Amino acid sequence: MPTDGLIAIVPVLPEKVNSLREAVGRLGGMLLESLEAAAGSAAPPRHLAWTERLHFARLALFPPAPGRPEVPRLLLATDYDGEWDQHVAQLHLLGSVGERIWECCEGYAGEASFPEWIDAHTIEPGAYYIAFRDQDLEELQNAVALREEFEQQLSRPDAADRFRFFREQRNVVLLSKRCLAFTLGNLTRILQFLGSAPTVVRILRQFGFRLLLQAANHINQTLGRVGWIRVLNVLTRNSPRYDGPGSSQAGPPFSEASLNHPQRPGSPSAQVEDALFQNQLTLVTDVPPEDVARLKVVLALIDLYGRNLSTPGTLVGISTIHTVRWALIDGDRRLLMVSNYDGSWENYIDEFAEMILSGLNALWRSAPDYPRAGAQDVAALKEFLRGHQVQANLFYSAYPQSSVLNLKESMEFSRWLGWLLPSPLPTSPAAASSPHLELNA
Amino acid sequence: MNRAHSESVLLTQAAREDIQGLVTSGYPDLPCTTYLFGHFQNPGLARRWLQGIIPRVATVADWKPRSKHTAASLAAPPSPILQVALSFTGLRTLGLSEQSLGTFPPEFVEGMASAHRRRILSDDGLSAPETWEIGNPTQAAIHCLLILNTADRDGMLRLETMVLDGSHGAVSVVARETGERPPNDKEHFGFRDGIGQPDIEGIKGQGTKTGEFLLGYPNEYGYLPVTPLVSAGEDPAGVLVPSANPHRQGFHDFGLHGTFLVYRKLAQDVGAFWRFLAAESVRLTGSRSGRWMVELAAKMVGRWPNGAALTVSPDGSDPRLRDQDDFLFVVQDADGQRCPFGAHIRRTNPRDMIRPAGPTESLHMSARHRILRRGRRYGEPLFNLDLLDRPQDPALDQVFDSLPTTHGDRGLHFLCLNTSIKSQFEFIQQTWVNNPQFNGLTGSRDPLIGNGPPGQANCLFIPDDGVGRRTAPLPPFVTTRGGGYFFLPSLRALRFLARER
Repeated sequence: MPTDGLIAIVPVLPEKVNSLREAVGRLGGMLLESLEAAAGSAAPPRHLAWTERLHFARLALFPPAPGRPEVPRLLLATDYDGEWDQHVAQLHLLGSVGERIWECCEGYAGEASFPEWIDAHTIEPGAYYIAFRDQDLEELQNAVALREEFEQQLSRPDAADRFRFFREQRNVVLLSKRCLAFTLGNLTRILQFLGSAPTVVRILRQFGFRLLLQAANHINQTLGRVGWIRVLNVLTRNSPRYDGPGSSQAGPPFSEASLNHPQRPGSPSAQVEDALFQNQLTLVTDVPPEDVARLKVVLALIDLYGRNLSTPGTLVGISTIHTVRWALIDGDRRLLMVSNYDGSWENYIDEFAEMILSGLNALWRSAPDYPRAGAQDVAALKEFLRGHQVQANLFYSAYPQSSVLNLKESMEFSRWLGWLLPSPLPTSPAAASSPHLELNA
Repeated sequence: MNRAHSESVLLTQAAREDIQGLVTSGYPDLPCTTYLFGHFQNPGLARRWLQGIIPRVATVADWKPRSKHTAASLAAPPSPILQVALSFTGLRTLGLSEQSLGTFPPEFVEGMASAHRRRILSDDGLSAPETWEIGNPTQAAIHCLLILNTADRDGMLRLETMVLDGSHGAVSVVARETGERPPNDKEHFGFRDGIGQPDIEGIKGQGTKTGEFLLGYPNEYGYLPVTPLVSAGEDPAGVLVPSANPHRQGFHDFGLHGTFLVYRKLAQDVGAFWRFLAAESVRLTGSRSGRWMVELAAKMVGRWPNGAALTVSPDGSDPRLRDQDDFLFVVQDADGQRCPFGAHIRRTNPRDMIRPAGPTESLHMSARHRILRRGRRYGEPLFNLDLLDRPQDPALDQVFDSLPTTHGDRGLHFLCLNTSIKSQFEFIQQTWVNNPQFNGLTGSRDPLIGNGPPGQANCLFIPDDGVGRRTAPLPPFVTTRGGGYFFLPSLRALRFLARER
């Protein structure tokens, strides 16, 4: 079942803000404790019933709406499997599990009207990328557990003998992968050495379909990045504010970053990061009215690419993102970004800056305090992002020990296991006489 | 990068006279080291004392490149070296204004023992800051770190006396540590250390951009790193140079030619290390073999004990390959069969293989996270470490027969220089060394220096021509016994700090 997401921003009763903050903080502490207790295993703690079928969740105290500056808000962002109704029922459970979270919010009128109330405050994202769109939580966790089980076997003294069968298959796979890489990298030279054609043909016949798929993926990945970078470059040209990288200065460029530490806003977000190996990013930036249409086009393109053209596990070459969503909120006056990623914030932003500078510029260049040199000035970009980051009061991840790469390889591993192992013994006597299925290509 | 700048990448003579010498050299000819951690008792007296020792602080201009010819014909030993580094609290005590203090990066301000930093560095359990001998947040704050390098112990005594002369009532020594650089350059586990060092473009003409290690020069992002500043009004005498940053007019550059220094005292449990390898040898082959143990140790480190990298020399036999450090992984070692993906040197410098990015992007990313290491080891070696270069020597078997079960007092004074602590040192620790998912691995940290919660097993995955094998869970062999973030100022900045008010 495909994963889906929900973003809701609900107003909070001003007098209840502190008790809300404490309640969410206590819930977060409880989560962290149970996660630490379960450290080393991929499964989520079972006693937290509201986390069933939930991939990620966060709660954050959110800046007020432009029209109502005295009313703070609460942001709720989740990625889940299953139906919306079931998920909302679980959300209600989240709010009432030992803590009175929903009672602190304006307009909450009990469990019966909770779904309508959430629906009234739900935001539709303009772009939504999920690393593994078609796998549900159980599938991911089972794949990880399976791979861990197998890897434990590798510590055995007799591991080499035990897995000789795998070894033989693996060498063929390796050979085919090497041939593929070599072929794609040396197409012209290959054409000259047609004597090696029989070997290539034999391997193609044995693993043909899989190789073609890999080749298609490889080509798509390369073209995808290059193609979309070009499109985004077109969209970021001719901008009144964006000067382009390093264009206005002669000599070595100076970063705009200010480093005024005591006054720098947003650094509280950094303080609560890195409790797990995954982190979350919640960003709110202002959008000038004349830029809204362009931004909508950019978001639509990102959504199109993310849904249809990106290979599972990477978004234009960035492989640390689990899910990311962008949405225009507050009457299209603000851009919200909600992301779950692996590793540290520094690494995440560095990867963006390395892989898709024009994407960063396309999204945020119209924000009033965006660096003049664009995302190229990475130090100033980081200052800008920290300044607009909203601290999350609660962050839940269903698989905090697994990175995107881990999940991808675990799933590939279970698929390969399915390929390589013979099918299970039939149970009926009639079927017992029929031969096993041979899986050889 | 603009080609027009390439002629001017070398540091000028004026710059060399301003930069403390540690940036260009670890002073291999001065094997004795003392680290003095000081606490300023009186700001005025401390400034006067600092004024007195500045003439003795060694700069890059004093450094002569070591060469085979000059070493043999040295008539007199090289002169002793003094370097001065200051912590955030030290800079504040010396009288730097709050506005200037606010221009220092947050990780330096917080210090290594803060709640966030310790999460980043995985300093918990036995490595928790509350157990530290140096930089313990519950003890007197460390304001300065003095690094003294001399040729022998007598010279050290003289230098220490000279440095601390006039410090009465000004500076008290909170901790005193000694280190050494042995002739075989080996650290305590038995491996030759210090081979993987980046070349600084400003010194060698090519290599990693100077701005990665020295403030005031372009870094690998193509920008000048953000640098601490002082307002022009605080520097009427013009001791410091005005900032060249067009966004920062009216400020003087305090950080120019300075850099950040990370110090960590790392205790190494050598007995536990070799006992683990002995146990693995028995478990997997049925008998204990010194050769097998050294091979597994080499897989953990990524180099043979004599320093040859596994990628370059899979069987470690050619001694000429000992010093080769300019190799890449993708070409000869893409599947990790020579140097495992999780090995120490592959983690601390992934070069062109940071999955799933391609080689070019990986090289860009690797270049942005290099550090200059200047550490020294302390404590007596547990055994003759040269034996590891000849594992079939029966003396090695005798050593392994009698490995102690208690933790001795030996380890490494780890010291590194970089212009951005969070982007370089902390990044390496958090994203590469202690990351259980580094490069697509699962549940394994650095086998040598990794530290994680006790519930998480740390196994090294060793690819081979089969499916690969995994070691048993590795206990932590290295614990943090102390540490701190310091700033290594230029001579100008030191004079500015020491000026009369």
